[in-house]
Amino acid sequence: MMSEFASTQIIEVTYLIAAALFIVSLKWMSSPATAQRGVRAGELGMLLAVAGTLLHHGMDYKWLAAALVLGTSIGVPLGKVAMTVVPQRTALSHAFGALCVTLVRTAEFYLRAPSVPPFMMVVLGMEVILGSLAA
Amino acid sequence: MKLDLLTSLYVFMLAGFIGFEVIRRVSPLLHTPLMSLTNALDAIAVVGAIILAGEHKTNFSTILGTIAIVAATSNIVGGFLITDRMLKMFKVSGPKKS
Repeated sequence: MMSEFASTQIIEVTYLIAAALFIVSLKWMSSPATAQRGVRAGELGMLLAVAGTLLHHGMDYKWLAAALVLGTSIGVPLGKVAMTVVPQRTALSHAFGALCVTLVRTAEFYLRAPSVPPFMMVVLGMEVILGSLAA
Repeated sequence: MKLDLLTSLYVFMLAGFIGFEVIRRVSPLLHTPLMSLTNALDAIAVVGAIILAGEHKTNFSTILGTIAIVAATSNIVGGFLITDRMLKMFKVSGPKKS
């Protein structure tokens, strides 16, 4: 019980650090001299956030591993496209991000279906509508 | 961690101001890499997807979560890779300021 409490604390702190890293990452991105550092900070923050999430108790790692490997194998070619098609690539990538949010929110609604609090209903609805529009 | 509605709204408001202030004075030169980086950071939604797929509550939610993880992970990996490549190009011809 104690260890579960401790690991929850660790996860929360990991998220906090990741959020701070994202902010400085975007901040450093505003000048060419520090932009490279900004990317590093973003990568580190993302690594912390994902690692922290994987620490949650009672996870079924089989699906996670498959999805992470598949996503990486799609992502690497997407990171190596020619520089001239970068705008299209970014647009496609935005669609992927929106798809992710839409699916997560749809599933959350599905899991809570009979008793969704009104405010959450509004949030979920907006996210699904905007997400699927963007996708 | 349980947040009530008002606390969540405060977080939302502060995050909005931080986002605006951080982005406000970006040099136009860096707009494309910035879009790319924001795109990669946007994939933080993978956290929700991982929890969703990992909990394995129903088959339906696990499948949706798995697809979501694939989409977001490809964003993370691809986004960071391409931002890094763009900035490497700046190193060659960009302003020398170090």
